[in-house]
Amino acid sequence: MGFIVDHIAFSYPDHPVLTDVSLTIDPGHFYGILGPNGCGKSTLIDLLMGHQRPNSGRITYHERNVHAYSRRRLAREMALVPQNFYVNFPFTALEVVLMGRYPHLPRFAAPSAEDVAIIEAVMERTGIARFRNRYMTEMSGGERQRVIFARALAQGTPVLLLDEATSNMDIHHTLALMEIVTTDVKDAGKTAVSVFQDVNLAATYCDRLILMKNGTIADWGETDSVLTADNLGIVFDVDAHVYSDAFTRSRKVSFRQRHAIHP
Amino acid sequence: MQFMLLAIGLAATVILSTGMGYIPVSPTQVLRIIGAKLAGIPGLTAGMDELYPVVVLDVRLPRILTAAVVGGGLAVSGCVYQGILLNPLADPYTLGVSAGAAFGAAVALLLNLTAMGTYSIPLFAFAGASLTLLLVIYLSASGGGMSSNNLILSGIIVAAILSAGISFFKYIADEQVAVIIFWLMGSFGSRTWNDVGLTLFFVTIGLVVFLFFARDLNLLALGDRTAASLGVDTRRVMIILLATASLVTAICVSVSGIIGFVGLLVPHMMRTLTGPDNRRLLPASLLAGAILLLWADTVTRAVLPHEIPIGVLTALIGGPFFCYIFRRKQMGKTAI
Repeated sequence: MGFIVDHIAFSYPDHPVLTDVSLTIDPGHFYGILGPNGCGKSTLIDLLMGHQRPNSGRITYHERNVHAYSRRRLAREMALVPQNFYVNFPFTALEVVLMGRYPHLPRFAAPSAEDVAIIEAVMERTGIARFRNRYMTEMSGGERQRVIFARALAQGTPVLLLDEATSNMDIHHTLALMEIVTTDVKDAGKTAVSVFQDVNLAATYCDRLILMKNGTIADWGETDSVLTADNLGIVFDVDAHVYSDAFTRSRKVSFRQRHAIHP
Repeated sequence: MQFMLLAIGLAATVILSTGMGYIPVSPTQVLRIIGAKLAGIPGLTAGMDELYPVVVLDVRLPRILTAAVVGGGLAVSGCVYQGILLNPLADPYTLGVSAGAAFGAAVALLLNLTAMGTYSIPLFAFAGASLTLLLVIYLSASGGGMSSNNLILSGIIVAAILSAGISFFKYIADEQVAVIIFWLMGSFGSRTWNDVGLTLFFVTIGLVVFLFFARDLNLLALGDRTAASLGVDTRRVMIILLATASLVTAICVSVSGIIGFVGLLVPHMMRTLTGPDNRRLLPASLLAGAILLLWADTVTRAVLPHEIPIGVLTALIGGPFFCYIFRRKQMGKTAI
């Protein structure tokens, strides 16, 4: 069950991105992917959702190769919240959230009462109901991300893939979004895989972490065992201090620039 | 509702413009002539000048319907190009299709190729447009797929080379130069029912394909990664839509020459009316494009003292109008 990533490698024509990546992603957990810029985090997401094909190795989802599923079938299994982007056409927030229901609707069908109920509930839950009629072209980056997140929830998939989904959001909405994901993972047994830049955010919400460096997995597993000063030092090349924070009741990390030691 | 109004507007435009010209024919007479032909009741035209049915059916209607179909075809192609290239400023000619068609036509005119009779020039124009598109897609395809930036850039490069080629042809053309220039500026003069049938056939096919993929085109507006996550086979859909839109454009160009701004402006204007959802935008653009180009052609044919090339007229009207809406968008941030 879940994903099994089996010795995959992926490269663009003139530069390798991932080399020999293996891991399993079990349902009912919130995975955080951490690593320096350009280490292949987003590529790993693309491979999980079948948007890119590995050059070697294979990824199975529910014991079947990801590429053996039709695109439409996959769209009912996993939803993606991509990095921030622009929308050049004036779709309203409501129209975009409704797009999350397309994989469930026949090509020429109008949304059913059930679809409408789902998108209303999702917009209420994500707090975007009040700007339902605003244009995507006129929103701030954070607002646009919230609409895109709501659209992914409306897709109603067992798997949620987040690629820096909160990069433009303020702290209030970041925490609200994380709570929604955690609730769905804990209570509904969903699977979430999220790329983070903010190590502390991942430490607070994810129960499992995947640390990447230079296209390989540096370490992965339970957050408590992976999130160590040594690991973070190796992956990010900084001095890290990991401690238990009473206020958030989770692990926290503080960082300090690592100064090269000259002999 | 909007579609009803546009459809009625188009029908009225066809009737009115058919009556206009050197020999005026009243709208009711036009309707009687069309009715007599369609229903097969010759009695309807009784008492009318014998010249009228000939003027309406053999001279004006083929030209008018060709103009309407070409206008609709260019407008829907424009919608599709804008949707795929994620760029509201794209038009059917963005990928160099017009330059390719012009190049093909110039070759045919220069070499005086008449092997295929009156179809020589359209055929060469179509071949030029198609080959250009293939070249542009080939240039822009990278390992992963096609990005809209690559497509636009490849289109510009190829169009620049072809334009230089056309200039060279004009330079060496001698007495043919006027013919080439005249063709490039576009005209609906002396179109026949064959032209109507040809364009109608391909524009209809195009519209069916576009409507079939209209929902996928909406999703492409969110970027190809997101569209893929929502179940769109992005590469396949992009290729099918690009090829179809280019086919429609090439057919339109080959019968009428190069007519700018219709494919750019009409989707823009309709988006304020229907919103960006392609399932509504495409049919609205089809009708509005038909109305617009038909009026433009009627103005140059029947209103102006001398006929001026239709491509020049659409650019003269469309250009400043586009500047206006572009400026308004910059100032007021209205959603266009």
